[in-house]
Amino acid sequence: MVNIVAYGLDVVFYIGLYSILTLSLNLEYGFTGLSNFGVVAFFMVGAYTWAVTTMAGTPAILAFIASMLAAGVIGFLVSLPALRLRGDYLALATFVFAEIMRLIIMNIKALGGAVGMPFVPQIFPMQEISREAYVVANTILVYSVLLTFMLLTYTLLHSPFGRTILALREDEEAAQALGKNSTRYKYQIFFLGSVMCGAAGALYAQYLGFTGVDLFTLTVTFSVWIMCIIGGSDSLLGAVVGAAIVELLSRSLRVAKDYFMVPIDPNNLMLILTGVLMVLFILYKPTGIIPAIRVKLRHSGVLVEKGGRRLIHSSVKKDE
Amino acid sequence: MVQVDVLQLLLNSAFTASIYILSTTGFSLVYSLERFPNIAHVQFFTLGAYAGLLSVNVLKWGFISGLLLSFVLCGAIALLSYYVIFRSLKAREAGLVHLIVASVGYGTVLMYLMQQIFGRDIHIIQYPFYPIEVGSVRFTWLWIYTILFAALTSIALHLVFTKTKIGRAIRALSNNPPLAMASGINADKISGIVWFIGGALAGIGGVLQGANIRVVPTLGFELLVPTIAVAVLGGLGSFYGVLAAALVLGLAENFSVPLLLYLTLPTDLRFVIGYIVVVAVLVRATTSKQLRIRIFTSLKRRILWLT
Repeated sequence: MVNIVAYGLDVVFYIGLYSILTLSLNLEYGFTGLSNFGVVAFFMVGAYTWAVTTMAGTPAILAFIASMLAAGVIGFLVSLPALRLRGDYLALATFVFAEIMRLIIMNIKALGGAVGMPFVPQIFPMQEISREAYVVANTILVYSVLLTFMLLTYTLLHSPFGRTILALREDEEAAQALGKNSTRYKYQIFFLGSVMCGAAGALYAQYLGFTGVDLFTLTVTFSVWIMCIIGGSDSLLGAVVGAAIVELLSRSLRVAKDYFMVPIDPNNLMLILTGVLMVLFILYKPTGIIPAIRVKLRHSGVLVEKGGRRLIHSSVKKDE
Repeated sequence: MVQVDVLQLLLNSAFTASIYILSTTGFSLVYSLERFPNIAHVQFFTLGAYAGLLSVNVLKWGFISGLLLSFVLCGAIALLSYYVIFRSLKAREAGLVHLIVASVGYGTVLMYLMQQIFGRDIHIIQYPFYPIEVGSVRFTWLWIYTILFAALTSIALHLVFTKTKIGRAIRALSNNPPLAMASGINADKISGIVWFIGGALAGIGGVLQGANIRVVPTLGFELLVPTIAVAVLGGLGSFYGVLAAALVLGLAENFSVPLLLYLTLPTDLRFVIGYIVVVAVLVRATTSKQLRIRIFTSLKRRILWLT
């Protein structure tokens, strides 16, 4: 008998987890214009750091901080040579880095190699409490982390720092002419984005009680990108909406497989659909759902923005 | 003790370099015109391998027609993808990231469609290439054909770029698009030709690589990291850079195998070289000469001090 409550909560948990990843990409790409195609690498670093530190006996809170810092530092190091150059070099460097990172971990025996590491310590004791209680506790944990990061991003965006990064996205040369050190801001944003991925990785590893290279293929990066684009890359709410749409679509395809005779393997179908959605959204709605709704509301006069506070993405302007 | 056969390693390097030339030429040509890395490009490799498999195993047309079939098919699909997706994106003045994301999405669709149609199983192209032994060097005719084909392709492309009108138009468009278009070059047509050539070359490379190892849906994807590394090392968008970079990377990858064996490390790590190359190029491009000299001399001083 399938435990429907636990399954539903599991979906909610994953939406929260992916929202954290998408939020980090929103911060990097949507607000600052950095194209990070190696999201999964920092996610993986977080998961493995959690596994290694907790197995060595580190308390959970310290291990969590260590996971975030490790991902942040590695993100910083990866972006170091690429951020001074044009955007495509960052995209290529992060893309290649994610695959190589996986290859290296796959060849390290101490990290479980291709098999992975079982018995990763969990924050909530899975054996002692019921399945539902376990998922509920984890869901609350994930959403409180997500909320913290969202509040952090919101405060950041409404500070001088946030206005500078928005200006960098719109016109880097103009921002530099005003005396802003654009590279330094980019490093800081990339560090922060990687920290968020690291936190998500730690939460993921402790929830599963397992970590392995098969969990961190490039398809994770693709999923996060499509979530970011569907929801709207420069919207905090968009991160959650995008994550929810893609995750629900993926789960419903897997459930549908059990009830209907679908001749296509659900995993293949999911990835094909993800790709098609990616291309269609880029072609017809490059700003995503939430900004499009925002523009509609402003047109009909429902939403009145406080004058001139918000910089609008250049692609949205074209829609208006 | 690890035995090192230099001649064998040189031949292996030449084969690897040939495959890289075939995979990266299209990637780099498309980059030089459209100014974005087409991540979906390596999927034409897989497509070509399956076309070759179909021709040799199922239709029994033989190997040469397999090559022709994948040449035409992959070229046509690449052309189609340009007209359906990337041209309209260009017309909408899409940014770099939008183009990359679209190519990532398109590549995912191609890869999983092929996985759905052909399955995850390993297929072997059933065409006998007899092994030859010359002294201590072992190889098959397939290797010779591959190396010859890559060399001929490079020479042919060189002639096209220098002697023909189309080649000059391609170079003009990649150098200065507004000026090229102002002087009457049909940018759309030239782009179409470049996409076709890129896809077709990747298709041929796919058949050769598939016949050499095996045919799986991830065949092209495995070449993505080396392809990017070769393109970056060659200086994104430069054809002659690709030729040199493919040779360098081919040599580095094959000659690192005995070294890794000697150090008792897994030989899979030779693919890390591609990443090191990308990082080295990026570091070189971002640091000033004085800084490099300063770091180098301080390192040298420290090493001297240690010894």
